[in-house]
Amino acid sequence: MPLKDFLKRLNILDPNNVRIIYDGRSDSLKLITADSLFANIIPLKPFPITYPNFIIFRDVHRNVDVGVLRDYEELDPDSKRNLQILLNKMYFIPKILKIMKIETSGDEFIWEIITDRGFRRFRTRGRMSIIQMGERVIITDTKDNVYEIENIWKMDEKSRREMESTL
Amino acid sequence: MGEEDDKSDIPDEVAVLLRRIVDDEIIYSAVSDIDEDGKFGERWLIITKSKILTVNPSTKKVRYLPLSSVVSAQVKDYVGNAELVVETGDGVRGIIRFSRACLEDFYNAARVIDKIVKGEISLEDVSLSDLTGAFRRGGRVKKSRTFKWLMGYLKPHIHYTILALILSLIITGLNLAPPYLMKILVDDVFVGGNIGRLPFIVGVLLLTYAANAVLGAAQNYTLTYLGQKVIYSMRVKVYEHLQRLSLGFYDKMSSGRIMSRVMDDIGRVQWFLTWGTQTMLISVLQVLGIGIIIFTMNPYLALFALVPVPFIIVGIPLFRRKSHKIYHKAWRRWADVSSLLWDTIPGVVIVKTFTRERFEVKRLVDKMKDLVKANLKVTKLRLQFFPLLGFAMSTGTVIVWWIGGQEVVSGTLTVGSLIAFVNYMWMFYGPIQTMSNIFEPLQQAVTSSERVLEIMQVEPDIKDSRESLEFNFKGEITFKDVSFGYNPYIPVVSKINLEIKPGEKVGIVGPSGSGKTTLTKLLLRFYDPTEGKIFIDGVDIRRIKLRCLRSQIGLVLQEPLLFYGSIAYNIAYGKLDAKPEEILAAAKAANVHEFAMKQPLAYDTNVGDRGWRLSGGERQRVAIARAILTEPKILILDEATSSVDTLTEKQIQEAMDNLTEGRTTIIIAHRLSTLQKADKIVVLNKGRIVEVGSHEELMARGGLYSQLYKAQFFREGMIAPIIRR
Repeated sequence: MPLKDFLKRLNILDPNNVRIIYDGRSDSLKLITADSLFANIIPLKPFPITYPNFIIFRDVHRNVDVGVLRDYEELDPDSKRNLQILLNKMYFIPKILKIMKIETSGDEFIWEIITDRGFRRFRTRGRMSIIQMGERVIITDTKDNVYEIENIWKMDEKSRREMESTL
Repeated sequence: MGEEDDKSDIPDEVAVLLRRIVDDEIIYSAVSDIDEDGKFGERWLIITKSKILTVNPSTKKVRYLPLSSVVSAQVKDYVGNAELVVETGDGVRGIIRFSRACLEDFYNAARVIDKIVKGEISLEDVSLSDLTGAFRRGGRVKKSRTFKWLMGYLKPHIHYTILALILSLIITGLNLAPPYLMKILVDDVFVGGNIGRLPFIVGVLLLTYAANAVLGAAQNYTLTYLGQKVIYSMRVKVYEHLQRLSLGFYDKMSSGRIMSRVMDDIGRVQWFLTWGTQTMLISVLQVLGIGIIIFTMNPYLALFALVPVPFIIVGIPLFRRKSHKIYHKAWRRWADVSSLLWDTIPGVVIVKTFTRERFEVKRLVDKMKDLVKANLKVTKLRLQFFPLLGFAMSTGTVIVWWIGGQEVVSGTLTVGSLIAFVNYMWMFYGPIQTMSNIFEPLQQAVTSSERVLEIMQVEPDIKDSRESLEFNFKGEITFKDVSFGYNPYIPVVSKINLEIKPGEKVGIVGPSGSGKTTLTKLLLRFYDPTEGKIFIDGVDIRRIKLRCLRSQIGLVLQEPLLFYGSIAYNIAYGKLDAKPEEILAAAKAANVHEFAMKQPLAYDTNVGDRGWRLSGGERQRVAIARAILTEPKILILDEATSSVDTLTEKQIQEAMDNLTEGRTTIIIAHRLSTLQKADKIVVLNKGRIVEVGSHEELMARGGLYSQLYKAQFFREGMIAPIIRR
């Protein structure tokens, strides 16, 4: 079957024809498209690092994906805000503001950092735990928690030195 | 052997013997290493347009056979040796024996004879490569060519090379100054009492050392920079070249050897181009410079200074020769320990299952003991040599002190001159030691350069021509009289004739080694058939651009290889500009989506080296998604479901159905039950098509397919009740 047929099945939504309402009681969303209304929807990011604005809407009761949105930034402000309420809870990726110290212990690195959510100490292991994509760096600790450096070149001198000298 | 130029390699003594008998053109020659009596010795095989000859240059025996009496030729491969035999009207006749080292040359010979006697090629305008189809090696690399090639890498950075050389020369010059300043210090200041010169001399000494430190750092950086630049462009060039080479090259050279050439050999070449040549040059200049200084200062003393030189020149190479074996032994002992650990740590389950922990500890202890012994031997040898060398050099100094001391007392030499002389003398021994030490690594580096150049000289067997076409495939495939062997003389598939219509699903089955996978490799043009042609939509695939051909054929293997990177990266590998929704759509079609979304970073999760973080079935589905995304017109599924469990197989089967719908599909399957949906099944045996038909037709025929099917059905039927129990 050609790829375009599989693409049709994704139900790619037009952000101009989508409204999203946050349902505080069920901690889910209501998705209103041009011709349908879906309740009990949660947003999922299939590419949280490479395409963080790409969203899948999943019906949690039926466990099916009902549609996808290429870029949620294109939603109207209310819908975007409603969507972000859940996204912020589901995708906790603190942004690293400052690296205090990186120590090595065996094949592990022990990080002490200041994030936009406060101080954190964690361990990483192996080269898979640190992914650099241009200026962004994604760090996954040994417990699968994820941290992000938005722009490594904009970090303070000491933090950059710590990164460069250790990794 | 095996190339036209090689005909000129026939030695004069053979050529003289041939002149009496041969009156036509020699088209092939090969040298054997076993003589007529079965002993090691040189014997030549010569093929002319009308004769096959054998010549023994030692015994001067020449034998020949007219080609007209030969029906066919073949190589009979035995243990430790082989024989070229021909079939004539009178039966089979042995022509020449040779060790397996010469196998390739004589397989070529058999092929040449066979083609000529069967009239498959015209002798009028034949080239030897047409006859042999042999793999063209880079051949032996000439030293001058290697040097020219290496200089090519230095050329873009010539200013850095010159800068490094100038810095080295200045540093060498600066190093000569302190002993002379010492002389002035002692003679003028300490003995002569000219205290006013002290600050000046101390100042100049300080400046000299400071300049030495700064220039030393600059020289180090320049050489390292130069080395890194050279190694960068060399590795990129070699890697680009390796990517261009055909699979035939990778069959002939193991990946370990290739990696070693890219990493180790290029590393040695870098050292050679930068530090090696500079060190050698500087050492020569130092020896000359200091030699002139000490002989100018005091020729009589200088002669005594030369006393330890023979020890250094003879002793160091002698030590290196002796130590080479001992170091190698120590290295091998270390490799033994390392290999045991590589075996037993990953295989810990087996060790524990068979309660072999104590056994393995004992094995390690034994190997460690050997390692300790070997390392102690190395130390002993070093202690035998270096103190002796040190003593020889000190003796030279003592003699100089003794003779020089007498001259100082008699007033013919100043104290300062003696001190300066001894300092220069020690400086003289240094570069001699360096030159004796550096010779071997320099030689190794030259060899490494040759090994790297050897790879660069290999031309890809499979490449586009100027006339190569590009077009969109409909998916019709035709194999016409196709024969092929990885070794051109041992066919893996023979006389294959097969037609596959667009959109048709064709199963290929047969016992192991029957040539199933080889057919698909030929279709992908990883190799070209030795005989016959393959057509896609009526066009010979040799006339289709490789990129066009391979981009329209999807391949899913039994053991799909994933690369280090995310799931998304691996899916998009065949279409690097794929949009996220395309990756998602392909992943859903291949049943990747559910497990991908369970990963910590969903599709952005790294799968690890070769995809180790995923199960076999998951890897398989990622490979299918990759194929779906590239939308190939023709699909090859090579045992794609044979190594996965039944539960996963259902998901894979669904993915496969999505993938194959509307596409020409070739399915190679060991489990015949998976082929029931195939439009037709081709049964291969020993490289030949023995049956073609639908499942029902083949079962009704009662041939090989039905035997294989029944055997498999019986086996699975036997196993199932055991599992249920």
